[in-house]
Amino acid sequence: MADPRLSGLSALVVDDSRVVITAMRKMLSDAGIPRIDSAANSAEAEELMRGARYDMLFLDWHMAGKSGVALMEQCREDRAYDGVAIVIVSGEAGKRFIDEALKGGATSYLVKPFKPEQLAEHLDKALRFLEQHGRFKPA
Amino acid sequence: MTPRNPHENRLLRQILDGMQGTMPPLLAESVLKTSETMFNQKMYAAQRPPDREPLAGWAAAVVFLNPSGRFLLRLTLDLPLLEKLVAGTYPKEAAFEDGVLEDAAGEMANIVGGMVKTAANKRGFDLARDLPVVAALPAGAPQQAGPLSLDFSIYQNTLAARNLLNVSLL
Repeated sequence: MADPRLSGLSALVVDDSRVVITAMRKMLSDAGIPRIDSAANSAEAEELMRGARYDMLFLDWHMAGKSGVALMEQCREDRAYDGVAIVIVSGEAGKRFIDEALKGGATSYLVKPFKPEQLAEHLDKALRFLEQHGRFKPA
Repeated sequence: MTPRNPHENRLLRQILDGMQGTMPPLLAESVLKTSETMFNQKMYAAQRPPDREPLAGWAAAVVFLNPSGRFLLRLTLDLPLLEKLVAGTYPKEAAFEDGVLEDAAGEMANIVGGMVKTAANKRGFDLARDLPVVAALPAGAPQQAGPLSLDFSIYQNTLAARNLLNVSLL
């Protein structure tokens, strides 16, 4: 069921798997996010980010070329991304990976595979982050 | 099968011994969970049906390594199974675009590989892994080429994983 709190937000999904992008786009759309873009790698994502501003980034950790974590760290060095929620998505569930991502600036860490209910929990964390940074006001 | 590299044997033996028989159910659980959550398809684990000619499909291999060696996890997915999986995810018109089946095989191996790595490292193995490499399999090709492999098939009109307990060493 769509969450009305997400109705004004935008998201960018970056993953080198088309099946993950397709699944995530559907889950995010069903959750209530109206504008969702996607990129197959970090270079494509950077190109999209030059032309648009997103509220949430979903970055696959392991991709050929620049990893999602490297892209996140690059974003975090840019003040323009201070208030953007970044969710690292990965098949790695080890504590070391989760800690590294969170330390590097991730808003949350989503382990693949995941169900829509699990994605919803991470959307909640992202909303709280956006609220803390003044980019989202709860009704 | 003749070992190609004694170090590969040793690491895989260490992993299987260290996981105390939990590797086959872990692989089964990983595949079933991935198929349900990412592909919207429920599968069940089944014993391998009687031998028959392997169908064409895709094989996705993940290399695991640590300082003491390396081994390969290879998932073999036949075309009918992959078509079912992507049908649960993609809109009809996009389900058979070029590269979709190959991508699905790679992502299945990627996620299952992540779960294997996490479980092994919880037991003290310092495993790293590479991104999956996917290759087409012609009909009739041997479905076990690696030291550790899983094969999948359509079984009695239901998605079924087969050879789930078929974990072999080089």
